Amino acid sequence: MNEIKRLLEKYWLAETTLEEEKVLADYFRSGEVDVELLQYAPFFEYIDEEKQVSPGEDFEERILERVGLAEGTAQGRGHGMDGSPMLAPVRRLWFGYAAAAAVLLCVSSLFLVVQLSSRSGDEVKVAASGGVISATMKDTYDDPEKALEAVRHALLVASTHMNEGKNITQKNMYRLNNSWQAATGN
Amino acid sequence: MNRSKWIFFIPLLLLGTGVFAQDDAIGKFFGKYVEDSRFTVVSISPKMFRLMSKVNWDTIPSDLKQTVTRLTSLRILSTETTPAVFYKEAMARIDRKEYEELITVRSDKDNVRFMVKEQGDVIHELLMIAVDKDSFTMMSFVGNIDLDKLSRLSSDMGIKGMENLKNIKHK
Repeated sequence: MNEIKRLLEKYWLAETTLEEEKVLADYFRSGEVDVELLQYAPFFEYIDEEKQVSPGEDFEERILERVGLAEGTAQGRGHGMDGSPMLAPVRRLWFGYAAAAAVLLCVSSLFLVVQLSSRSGDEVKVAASGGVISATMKDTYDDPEKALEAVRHALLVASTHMNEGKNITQKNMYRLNNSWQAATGN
Repeated sequence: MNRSKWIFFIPLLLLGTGVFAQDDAIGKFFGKYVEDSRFTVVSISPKMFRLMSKVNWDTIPSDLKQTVTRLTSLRILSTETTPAVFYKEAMARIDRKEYEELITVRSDKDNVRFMVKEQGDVIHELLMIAVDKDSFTMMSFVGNIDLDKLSRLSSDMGIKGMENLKNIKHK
């Protein structure tokens, strides 16, 4: 009896060990409780009862349904109406970020490929960087000397035509100047 | 759920157009005619340009040398079959957003256009399209192109260069 009182004192101070708490619980469960301590009996009964509470069998299912993830529950998403599943919009947001990241990755890698290929001079890579004429590069010449000669010719042709343009512009400028002078009488 | 699925398709679509755009630039006009027997094709690959460094450069003027060493590839396409038709087709097919027109020389005999593709301030490709009543020629120089140096080349070579010109056109 005094032992129980002592343990109770300790219990209220939250200093009891698990074994001592069990002694107390057993005492109050035994039904032979001292009148002096009877006031505490409902408290220990309550604790006992609470220990019995466990999630029901369909607990998980119900939770999932609330969240809107349950398979085969037609109203899964419909629950949004009563405002319960805050999770659904969050999830959609996450998908959006993932998609944005994927787009970014694709675009940037594409740029990287183009950039890299235009820097180095490999045949395959040049094809990717796409000069207008570059489908597949089959060399016309095997001899670098002949190739150089061809490049030289090509450059000359381009250069000559370019200067042709300059000359024409110059000629026209003279002509313009002459007619201007004729018109103004200078 | 449907919407998020669609979002995943966007990168795929982007990737698709990217690939097509490249394919287009390559095959736009030339891919088709490279194998065509009506066309004379000259191509010099980046590999060949690298091999050229082993050639004896002593007789080559320095301006020319500098220009050549900055090139990475060259391709020439020419034909004597219906030049005017091919010229028109080429002009229609070239993407003007990519290729900016630089110089146009039109005389009673021929018509020459220069177009450039720029990357930043650097001319990455010079495209020459020339047509007269006998032939149609396209030349594409890829590399780092200095137009000033290029235009100086022919004046350095003088008349001798002009004579060579005649030969290459009918090679």
